[in-house]
Amino acid sequence: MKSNYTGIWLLLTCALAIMIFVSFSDDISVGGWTVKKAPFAETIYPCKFTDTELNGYRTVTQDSIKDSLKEFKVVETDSMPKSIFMFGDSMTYNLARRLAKYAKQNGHELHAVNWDSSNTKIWAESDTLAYFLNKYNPDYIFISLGSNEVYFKDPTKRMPYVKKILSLIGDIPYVWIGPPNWNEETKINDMLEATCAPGSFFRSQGMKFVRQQDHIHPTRASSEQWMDSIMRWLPKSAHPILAVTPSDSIKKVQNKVVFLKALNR
Amino acid sequence: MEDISNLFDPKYISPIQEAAKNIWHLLAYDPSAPMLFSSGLFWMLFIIFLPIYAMLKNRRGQMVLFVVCFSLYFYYKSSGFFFLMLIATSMVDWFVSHIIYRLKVRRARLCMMWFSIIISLSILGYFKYANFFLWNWNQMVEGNFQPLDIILPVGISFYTFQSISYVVDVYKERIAPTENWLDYLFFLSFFPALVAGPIVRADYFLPQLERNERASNADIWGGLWLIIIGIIKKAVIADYIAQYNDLVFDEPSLYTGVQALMGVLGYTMQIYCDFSGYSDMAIGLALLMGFHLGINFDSPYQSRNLTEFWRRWHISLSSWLRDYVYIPLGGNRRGVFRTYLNNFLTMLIGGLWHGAAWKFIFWGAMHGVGLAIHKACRPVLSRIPDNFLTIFIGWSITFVYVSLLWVFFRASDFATSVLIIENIFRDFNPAQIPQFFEARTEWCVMMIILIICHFLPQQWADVLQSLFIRMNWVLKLIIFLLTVQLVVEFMSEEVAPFIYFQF
Repeated sequence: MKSNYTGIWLLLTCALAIMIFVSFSDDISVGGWTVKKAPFAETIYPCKFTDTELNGYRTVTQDSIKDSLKEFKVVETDSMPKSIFMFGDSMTYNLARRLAKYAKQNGHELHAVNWDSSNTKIWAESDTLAYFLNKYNPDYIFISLGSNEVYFKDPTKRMPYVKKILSLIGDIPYVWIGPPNWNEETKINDMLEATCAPGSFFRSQGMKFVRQQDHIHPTRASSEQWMDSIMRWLPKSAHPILAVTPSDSIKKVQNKVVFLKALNR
Repeated sequence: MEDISNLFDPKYISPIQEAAKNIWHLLAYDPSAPMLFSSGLFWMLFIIFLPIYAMLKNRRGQMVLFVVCFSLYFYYKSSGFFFLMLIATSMVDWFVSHIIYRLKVRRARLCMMWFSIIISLSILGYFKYANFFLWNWNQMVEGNFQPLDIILPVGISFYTFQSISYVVDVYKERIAPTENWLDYLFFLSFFPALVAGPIVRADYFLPQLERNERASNADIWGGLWLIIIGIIKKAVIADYIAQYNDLVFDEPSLYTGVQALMGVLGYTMQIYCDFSGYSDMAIGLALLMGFHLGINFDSPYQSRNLTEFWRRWHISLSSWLRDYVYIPLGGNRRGVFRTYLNNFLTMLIGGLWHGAAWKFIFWGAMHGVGLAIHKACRPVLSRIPDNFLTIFIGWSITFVYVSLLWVFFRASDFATSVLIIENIFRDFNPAQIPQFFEARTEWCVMMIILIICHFLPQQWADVLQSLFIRMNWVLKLIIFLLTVQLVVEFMSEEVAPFIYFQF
């Protein structure tokens, strides 16, 4: 290599090596700030992020779902049309696409807010949720949060934020959709289940998903199946509402999804 | 520990196989993940590219072949097999340019030039404007419009303009055609400028390729400095402030006049940071390789009138439009009315170049009207003395006009644009400004810093650049690392394609 390029090449190589090293290492915290990692590990190193669908190995059990269902007696379905509000992280959009069809089939109205990369802390600390609750005035809520907190070593630290979100929701019936784990259990589901009201948490952990290329997000089709599972479970939840499977005649529903981009807090 | 029995299962995929598979996926064409200069993948590939380029630099033929291959791969990664179309375009241009060069009869040369231009414009027209024209046709005849399933190849508007300027320059005998087809393909597919400009002119670029001079240390480190500035503008500032702007433009009825005004101001700065940031990265990369592409943005919002704005904004496009549209139309040589008309038509084409939609045509037309008005007022304006007040008034009118036109450029339709502007004028309550600042402190602080930086003298930026060039290697590494970490901290989950990507 020509000598005048050596310096720049070394600089770029060192920078890349450092970024990769940080990406694979444990969280680095400076003061109260945790250094965000470049996504090399997720992209290249498969073991850490293998999901059940890809390796075909992890034994999938539905026991936890069944166990949680045993605790609750079936309550009568509320047959009134609802104003449904769904909010959460980037999993929300594909779920909302399917939920929109359920809404149309069952006479509900659906509004959704998809906030990329968001987590419980962001929703709890910003005025966004209060704003949309005030705007849509919903009487039923679906929450899809937790996917961006799967790797937190101590999920109990997120509990105050979950509680804050639930307090903002107040008396409105809700279903918290647990993250579609693509990794071993990190107790986030346990924390969410323990914090949510009985019969208001849907544990997605253990379900099989076909993932997108990022190995994290379920594909559109897989998300639809995921939503179908939630709706099948709904009659057994604490606040069942009409959830008849959409007929094939409902081809395309105009989605009322607001997109918020990542805030990177 | 991993269960060893897994190894005998046909479903088992070892971590290495899985990693290889993932990397293969990463390198293959993915329409949802075009390769941007700010992406990790690009930098990984560039680290491999650079030493090979350096080794081949003195062997011109091999260097050209290597860079062409890399550029074509770069294009493949963004546009799939459309890279074959790029090769085909270059072949046609190259053959036609040689025929033009050899022909002695002017009319025959002219025919060949138009033949090449028509081919280039037909390809651009089909991919970019077919659905637009079909839609309008169907609106007129009230037919059932079914859009054609057309994918717009990335950067086609940029390389089509480069291709046209090359053939016209050969016809006008400003340049001789390249002896070697690969040299021309190198020019047309040069990866730093391939997908989003700047629009490189053959008479400026090809002599540099001919000389094949080694990049000096000032070029290399100056190039890295530009890349750092570009990354900050594009991946940190533009992507961050876009988050709020998108809210306003997506549902303007939800926002007050103050919020709408901030959204418009935000978008005004966002489009500048987005596009000039990417241009800076492209220019920096080229400089690092020893090629000068010239500047593409020169603090455009400092302009005191619209004519000056277009001398500072997207300079490679505005100079291209001047040389290949405005002047051939007659420029200012055919009387006052024709000058205004030529100006208007040039800007109309400029608007249409930005996208196949009426909103872009309107945006271009209004800039054309603004330029014509400025030209008409020049005799009066030239008599007004230059002082702080007149400078401020001129700047304010220009900035407000440009910013308002960005609303039409950004909003999804005309009605949304009108709604946003109506909001600003009808529902503006200054008392809400402190509340807005309180609610969006980070956004406001970033905007204030950005505006201040934009109005700093260019000399300050030059001083910083020369300081960086002379800086110790370790300090440079730290600055680069901090920049990359800043990008990671601000990184959206989905990469926001830069605004000019599809143009």
